[in-house]
Amino acid sequence: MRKKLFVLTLVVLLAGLVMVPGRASSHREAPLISSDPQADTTDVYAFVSPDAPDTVTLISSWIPFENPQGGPNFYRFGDNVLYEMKIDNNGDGVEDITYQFRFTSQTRNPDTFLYNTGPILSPDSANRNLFQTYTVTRIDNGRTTLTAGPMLTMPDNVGPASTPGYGGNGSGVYEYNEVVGGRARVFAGQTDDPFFLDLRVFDLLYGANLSEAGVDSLAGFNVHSIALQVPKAALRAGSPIIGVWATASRPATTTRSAGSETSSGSFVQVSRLGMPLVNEVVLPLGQKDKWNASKPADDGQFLQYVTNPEVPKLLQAIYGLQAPATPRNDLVQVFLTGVPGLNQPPGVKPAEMLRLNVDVLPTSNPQRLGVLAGDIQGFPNGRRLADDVIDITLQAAVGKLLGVNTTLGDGVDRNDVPFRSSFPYLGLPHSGGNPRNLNPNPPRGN
Amino acid sequence: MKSNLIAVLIVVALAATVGMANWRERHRQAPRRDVAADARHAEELLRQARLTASPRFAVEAEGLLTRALAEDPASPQTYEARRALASVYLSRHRFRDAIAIGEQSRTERPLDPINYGIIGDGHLELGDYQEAFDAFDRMMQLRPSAAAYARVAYARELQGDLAAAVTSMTLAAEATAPDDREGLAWARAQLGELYLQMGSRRDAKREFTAASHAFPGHPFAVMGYAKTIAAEGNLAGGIDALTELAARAPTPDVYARLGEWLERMGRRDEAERQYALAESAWRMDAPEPKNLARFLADRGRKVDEAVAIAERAAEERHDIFTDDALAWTYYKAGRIDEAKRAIARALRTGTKDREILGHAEAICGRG
Repeated sequence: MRKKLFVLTLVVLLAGLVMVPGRASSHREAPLISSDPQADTTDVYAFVSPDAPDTVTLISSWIPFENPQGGPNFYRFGDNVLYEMKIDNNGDGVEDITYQFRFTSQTRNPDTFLYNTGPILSPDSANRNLFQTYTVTRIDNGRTTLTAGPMLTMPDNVGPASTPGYGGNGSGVYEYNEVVGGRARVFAGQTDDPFFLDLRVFDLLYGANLSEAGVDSLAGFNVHSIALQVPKAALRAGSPIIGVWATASRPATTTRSAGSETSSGSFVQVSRLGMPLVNEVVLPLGQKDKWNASKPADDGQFLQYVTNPEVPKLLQAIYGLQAPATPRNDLVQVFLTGVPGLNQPPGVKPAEMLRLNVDVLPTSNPQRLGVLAGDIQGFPNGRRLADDVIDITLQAAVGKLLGVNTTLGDGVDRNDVPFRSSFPYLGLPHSGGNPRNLNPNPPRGN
Repeated sequence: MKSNLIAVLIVVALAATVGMANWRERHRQAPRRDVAADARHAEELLRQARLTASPRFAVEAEGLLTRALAEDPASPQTYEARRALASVYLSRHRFRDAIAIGEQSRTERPLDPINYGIIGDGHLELGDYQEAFDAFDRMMQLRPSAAAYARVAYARELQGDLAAAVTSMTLAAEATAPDDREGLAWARAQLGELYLQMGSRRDAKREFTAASHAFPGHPFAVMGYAKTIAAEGNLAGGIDALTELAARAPTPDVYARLGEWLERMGRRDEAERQYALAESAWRMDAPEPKNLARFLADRGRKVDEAVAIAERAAEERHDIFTDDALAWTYYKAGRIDEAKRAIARALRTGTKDREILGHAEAICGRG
């Protein structure tokens, strides 16, 4: 009995030693900071299709920095995310046409968590245990005008054992009938991240030597992309100039009962993207929450950050590059209104979106610096996959459009993998078998 | 000659040491402190606190942030660090301090949804439910996210609407970043707990298994799974799972439940040891006296002390779990009228918490 008491006392004392006052135990400490990569759009592209010049290709990419070795959960679109591509075809800042994409995950064998149960030789392979289908819905001024699907997304490029000969068996491209103009095409699934830049540029802006840049920070990473190829006639109105942006929204739930909530309740926009680098270069930190929830029609509230931007001031302070006088109406044209005579719609309302004049036909000799190099089919007239938007934006920021002579850039001039010559043009995703080319003995197959 | 060489070497070594010290001094001052990185570091420490049940991580996070904020407590550059400090205060149950920072940050950035999460969490724990629910709704309207869905789910659960809680917690799980395995396990384990409350053990098991798949050994997943199999009659399996958990992430709750199951298996001595551990741990658990009070009342021991502890807790907070602890200790002390008033307050949100409902039944059954 005494021995038992002694042991008990000892145990209690020891327990006291490991416990420090200040423990949290009852409340659940729900995570407070959460990233949402599935609703995070990385880039938007809009260009006249080089191999089908009576169509326009629209692309949005999602889920930044996908490691090709994504297992065991792998990457997919969000089932509860409403993905949208919006088009303003009369310059009033409000969408006239909306394409909605909704994804549904399905499991063939609910008893396993595995992505695949054997090699996946086609998008509809029975070995593809976890797969996603999606639908496309077109809305014209609030009215649903077409719905296509369900269709299959392209699987992730898991590796040569699971996805041998990736891309060789089925492209993931589907055709459907547009409201006017005939056939259109759609693709959704994993691709190479088409953006190329040295992310150190954001470090170097704060003091160092820009010539140190030159490494494509996004080389070897994948994203998930949604691509559409639509007849011009189905997009344009009177003017040939269309404005394009992408949004992601999630359904809101409420703490108090106000009827029945479902996952298709009222949607709240959680991200938006049209022009590249607005979030990174133009907007100050404290404005980003407001920006992600805002609509282009209300962009007048952000005008001051464009007319009086931070980056040229930094470049002047650090590199001695003379900042052009403000207000920067040249940048207002790049980011908000389009350039007169090229991609500015008549009666335009300043609003941030990618503005494309669909009447400018593809050139056989595209320049990575786009309009700055005299190639008016490129950025900022829409955006092609190979347009070097970092260099263009940096040069525009220091006044290239005002006649300033500059060759400013990040030293990365092209993507790490070639773009394909036909829809969806994006590079195939990097294989999980050789992530970021780090494997000295890469497996054969892909 | 040889001694000359040694002298030269000594001089060189001294010079090098002095030079190195100067160099270190210069470089210690040179780079500006990356306060945003400190804030992220603190968030990760809080996650570690959740995984290990060890309070030292929250203490470490507080120290880190206090140092980071010492130089410039109010500049826009330290916004994230201040916000993170509010999270640490929540974790340490300094709810009023957390709300104060949350309100300040809200003035600074009224559209940052995280501030409303902090303010709401604080009010919720204090029992100011209307303020908490308003804050969570605002958070959701600004940006639906895993964090917002989880809070709305808890608000629904407190009001007894378990189906709506499941809907919102499912959205939380699906909005969690695929590479945030701990966050995923947390949300799945919460879903499991909701299903357990609904009496749906099969769904609960599936969720706890999914949680373990996302993050093997997550304490909430292990605890939930153990509770599920124990409810199915597999007490031995539950005891094994919790014994393993107690060895690496000890909480008083784990000891108490182990004691309960051992007692039910007739292993009286082992049960007593676990109860002793639980009591000791709860006595060290300064911010949560209500748990100790309820534990003592459950065992019918030191009931007068339990009442005193619960009354002190109720001076600080009036959340339904504190009211419930107060009611239960009054009941065990034979103070039925006071117990009835307290349990009525514990039921005010419409909760379907089984323990609270069980207490209510016992208290009201006494006429």
